[in-house]
Amino acid sequence: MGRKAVSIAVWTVISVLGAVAFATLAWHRGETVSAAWMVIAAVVTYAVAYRFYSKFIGYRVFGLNDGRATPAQVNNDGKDFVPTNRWVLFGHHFAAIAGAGPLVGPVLAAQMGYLPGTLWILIGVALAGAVQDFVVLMGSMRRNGKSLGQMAKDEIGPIAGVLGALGIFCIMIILIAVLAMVVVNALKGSPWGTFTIAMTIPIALIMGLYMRFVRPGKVLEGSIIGLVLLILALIGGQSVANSSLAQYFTFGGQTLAVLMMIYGFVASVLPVWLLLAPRDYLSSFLKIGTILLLGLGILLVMPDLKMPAVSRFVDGTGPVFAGPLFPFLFITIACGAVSGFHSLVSSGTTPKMLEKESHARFIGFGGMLMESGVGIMAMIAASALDPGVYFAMNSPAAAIGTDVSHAAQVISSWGFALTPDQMTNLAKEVGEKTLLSRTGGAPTLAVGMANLFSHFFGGFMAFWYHFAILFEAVFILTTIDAGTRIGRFMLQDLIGNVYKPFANTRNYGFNVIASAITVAGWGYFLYQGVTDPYGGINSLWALFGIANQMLAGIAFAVVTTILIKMGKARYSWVTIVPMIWLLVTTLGAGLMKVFSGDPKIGFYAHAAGVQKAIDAGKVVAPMKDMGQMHEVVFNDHLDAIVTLIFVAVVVLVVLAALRIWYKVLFKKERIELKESEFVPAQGVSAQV
Amino acid sequence: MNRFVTGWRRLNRNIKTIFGMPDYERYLEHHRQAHPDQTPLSEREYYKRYLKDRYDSGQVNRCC
Repeated sequence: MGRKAVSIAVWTVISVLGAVAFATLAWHRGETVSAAWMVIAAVVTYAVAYRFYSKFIGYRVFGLNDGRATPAQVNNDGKDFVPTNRWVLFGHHFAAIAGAGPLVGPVLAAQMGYLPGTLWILIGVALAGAVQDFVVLMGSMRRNGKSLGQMAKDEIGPIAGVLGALGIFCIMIILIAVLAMVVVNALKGSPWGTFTIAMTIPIALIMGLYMRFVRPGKVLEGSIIGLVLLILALIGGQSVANSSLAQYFTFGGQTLAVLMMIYGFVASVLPVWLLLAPRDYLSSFLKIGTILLLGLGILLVMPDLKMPAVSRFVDGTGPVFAGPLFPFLFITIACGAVSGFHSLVSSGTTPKMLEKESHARFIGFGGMLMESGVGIMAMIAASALDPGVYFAMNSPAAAIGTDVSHAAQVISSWGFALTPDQMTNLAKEVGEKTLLSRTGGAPTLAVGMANLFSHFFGGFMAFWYHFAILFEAVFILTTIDAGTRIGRFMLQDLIGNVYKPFANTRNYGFNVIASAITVAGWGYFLYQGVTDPYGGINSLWALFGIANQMLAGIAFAVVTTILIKMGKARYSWVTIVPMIWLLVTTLGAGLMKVFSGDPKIGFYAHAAGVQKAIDAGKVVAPMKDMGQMHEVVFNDHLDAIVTLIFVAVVVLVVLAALRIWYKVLFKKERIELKESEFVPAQGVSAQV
Repeated sequence: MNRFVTGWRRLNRNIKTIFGMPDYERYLEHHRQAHPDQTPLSEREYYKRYLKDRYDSGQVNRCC
């Protein structure tokens, strides 16, 4: 047999195996199904997509050419532009794209059963998510590592550039608010968790001082010291929670939200070496370490999935997030399937470090496949819980109350068996007072991980639960301070378009003002989410999902423009198909969120209902007083406006792109492709 | 022994690249090659410049 025949045979076997795995997941009718089938389905999808589709995109569509020098080869400056070994660069890229997103979305989506979310993660990543990361990386690589915003400006026009920047700033605000919300929900009334997270601040300060004054620049030493102290804080947290000190670390949601805002503001104006940089290292190590540990745990334990394949909540009546499967599933799981934010990372440091053009395939496409794998792991961890426990943890108090027996009764009436004792015992096991309505995904994932790890290490459930909470909170807090800082720069840049001096980032006064505005922006949404009786995740996560997917839509519009200008219009379906899908789901979801007549979904319909009660002088549950009633109405209107801004931004950018496509394809105008000039590759060897 | 030292160095260097950490040795190497006539920055100065470039540029270098 020739090599070709062997290859065909091997890929046929792989594909058949994948088909069997999908069929088992979809049609299995029994109590439970092994997670192994989900793992197989995922791995086969990734292998086939990588082997065939990414090759097609890389060579047929984009014409990757190792004879063409990469930005790292042309500009090798030993600093930003450095040819880097592809495995190391893969790690660099993955460490930058991985975060809390792919861990939260799938947990929320599990309310519809494991199957819809899993199918979207796998199909979405193969046809949209990995494609986006890959094509943006290639586009940026051919433009000397330019950012997405610059590419939009160069290839579509200056208006698209400004709109893109505005869109990115709004997304940043919502992103920080929703992630902060996740942390607040995880730390509410949890002295153990709160103590550990609070300790990360002095730990970061110690690391910062060490790396600045004691051993300048020795970041690995500093990080090791930090990680050791962190584990001590985690162990110490248990003793604190069981002592009289516990009261000083027990806070309600509102206090935590305010503390978070103070922290975000202070961190963004302090020198970076003191707090931000050390925290960044701490969270990077913790993030990658925990993801590897979670993967290992799943592979070794291979838990059974107890969630039904498809639950009754596909009709949109679910308690975790409102709205029917189409389009809301597709905005709930953003990261893991397709995440617009990655287009910023793929046009950031990675394109400047590629050693060869062909490596973009492994790093861009492959990196996103790995991120999708993280999403699948989160889905497995959530689906391996008893469905009753899952719903008790993820339904807002407005739906199930705050009392264990009432909650158990409500959830059992939905058809998911749950006893009050089950919840009480589980809370005791993980060292918490209650696990009811711990919305936001992090605590659910933490229980799932604690289950896996305690199975594996023979106990220590409470330790592993708080370890998982720590890891999520630490990198979310890093996103909060780094995000606030980036938001500040973006804002200064944006306002600088109108009032030039504001763009001067050396002016301390303007820095502080811009930081304050940024913190006030996300702080408002956070506070609104915490006080919202419907639980902030319900509305905030949808806003975030819509924003993130719209950014992906913008990225696809930019790359499609590039393809058309390259004369590759016949292949432009590669980016147009996912772009249309993202536009349909996000515009659909966005417009439904604003205009739906169902008060559970539509912001205006909901506001109208509450307003009617106000006019009648009535306070309706779960609101407690008239003031709260007015707040709810105001917030509904605000959320609607923000959603409409997102819709307007994406529609305008796409229209601007369409104008260029029309000019090139129908008017046959020659519009210059703003690519860097071709430089033949030298025999540069990799720096390993 | 020698192999152990190079392996350790390489591991250190790769970890730093993956997490976007400052790498003074690599900077010195590059500096010696590219600008042999100039004095390189001290490790402390290099660290300061690195922090400014990484965190005070307004560049998005991470995801959610």
